Amino acid sequence: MNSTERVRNLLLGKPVDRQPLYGWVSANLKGQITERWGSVAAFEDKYEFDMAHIFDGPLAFSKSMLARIREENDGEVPPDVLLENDCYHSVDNPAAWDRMKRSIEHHKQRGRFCYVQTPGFFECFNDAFGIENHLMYLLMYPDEIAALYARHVDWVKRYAEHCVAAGADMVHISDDWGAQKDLMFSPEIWKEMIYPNMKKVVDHIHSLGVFASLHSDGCIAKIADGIVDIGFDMVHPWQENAGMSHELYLEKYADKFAILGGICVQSAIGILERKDLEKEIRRVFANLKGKRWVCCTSHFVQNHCTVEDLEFAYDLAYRLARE
Amino acid sequence: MINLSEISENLQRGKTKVVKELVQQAIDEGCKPEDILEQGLLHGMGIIGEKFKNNEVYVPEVLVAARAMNAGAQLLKPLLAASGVAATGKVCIGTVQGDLHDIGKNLVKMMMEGKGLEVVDLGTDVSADTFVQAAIEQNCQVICCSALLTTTMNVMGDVVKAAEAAGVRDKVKIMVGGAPVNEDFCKSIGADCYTTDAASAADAAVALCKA
Repeated sequence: MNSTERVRNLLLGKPVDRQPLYGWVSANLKGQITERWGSVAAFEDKYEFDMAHIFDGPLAFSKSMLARIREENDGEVPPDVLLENDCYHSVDNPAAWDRMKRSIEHHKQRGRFCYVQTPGFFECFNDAFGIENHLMYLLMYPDEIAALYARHVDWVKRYAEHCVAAGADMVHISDDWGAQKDLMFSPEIWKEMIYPNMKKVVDHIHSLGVFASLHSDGCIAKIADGIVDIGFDMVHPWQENAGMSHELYLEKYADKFAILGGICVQSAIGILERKDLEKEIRRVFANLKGKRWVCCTSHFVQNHCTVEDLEFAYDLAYRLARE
Repeated sequence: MINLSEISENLQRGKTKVVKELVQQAIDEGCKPEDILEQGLLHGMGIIGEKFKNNEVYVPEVLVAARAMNAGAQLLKPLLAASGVAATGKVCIGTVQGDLHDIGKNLVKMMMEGKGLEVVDLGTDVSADTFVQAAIEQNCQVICCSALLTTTMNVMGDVVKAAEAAGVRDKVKIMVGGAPVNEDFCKSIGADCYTTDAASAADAAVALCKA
């Protein structure tokens, strides 16, 4: 069973030969890892990472167009003005996909399961509005925001088609909805504005024959049933220290979707002494091993984590995944 | 004659334009500015703060209510200054050096203003020395430090040390907050107060200013 088969089976709820392993290690530790291992790729090979998280697609909005709108509107991008303008970059420019294709080829040679990230509705429009304005606009301009989100569906669907053409196994939609204790906005807003559009996107991704995954930090428990209805196959990070307990997952959702995460960058790796870090990783494995879980970090490992601590954590996770 | 609870109710719904009109009407009808502030604006913001603390409303509701409050407060400011009404206390707030996240800090600021505190916003990426200098120069009773990143939270410890080095540690209280921060961390760096949410932070700051 190679990595792709392993992760595919796990996503489908079928048996796997061992717990898959992955980590968001390179964003902040690329330099340290390269110094010690020669390259991030060498680190990924050593720990036999089963997945590859690939970015590198085109941005949604034209920065110059947004800058012009801001200049003309006292520094803001009002939703009604954005709606009147076509601010999208073309998603069909072949050159925009070259790097992604090369990344996928590299990881496919190692048998890895490749997932490609695209920003979802809330996250993508944060770039245009700024997060605080965006949150206010949800209440102040509900019709315009609904129209913008609806228009965005086509762009994401086309983006997903390119990801699949490039060889992706899963399209990963990053759309942070959670804060530390609760959602950032009400479940009603989510249900009305995000759910129907996200459902169209995920249905389309499935029609292309690949999986769909969601990234949302924070507490998203109030809409977890909706995430099931949308049809996501995997959720990252299911942030335990933001109220997303393993018990909740195992009791209600383990037969609905897989989770990616477990090693918390906010409270464990790079934070705890090794003795406590070992205890924590063992606890997570005790809770989730044998379930539909890919062991991964909850977000990018932060740069106060030493490369030695990173190795310690991954040596242990590597062993536990195979025991 | 205007009923000041109308101001409170419209503020809670984030109706900025209506709040401005009602505040102006109350001023024109001769209501005391401190009554408009207390029974209208701060009352409404207090209710939103409680609801937020209890997860009954979400960040957008807080943001639009604070926007309405600020619009009304702008009309009252000169009148309050003229009648010698003092703020509940004065605090400076910022996101610590190396950290550019500000939504949590801004929520705390709004809640604090909703409790009648004067807030000096130092912005993001604020050095320990800047926090302390601002507290000294602006006579702040409380320094509030925010961080989202585990990489930056240790700057909060530097703020405590900088206050000690400047000889003002006994004159200024230091509050800390943000996703990676907890009570143990607060104690470990010698800060005075940690709260889990923005509304509780505002309550705590009021208590510290009155202490």
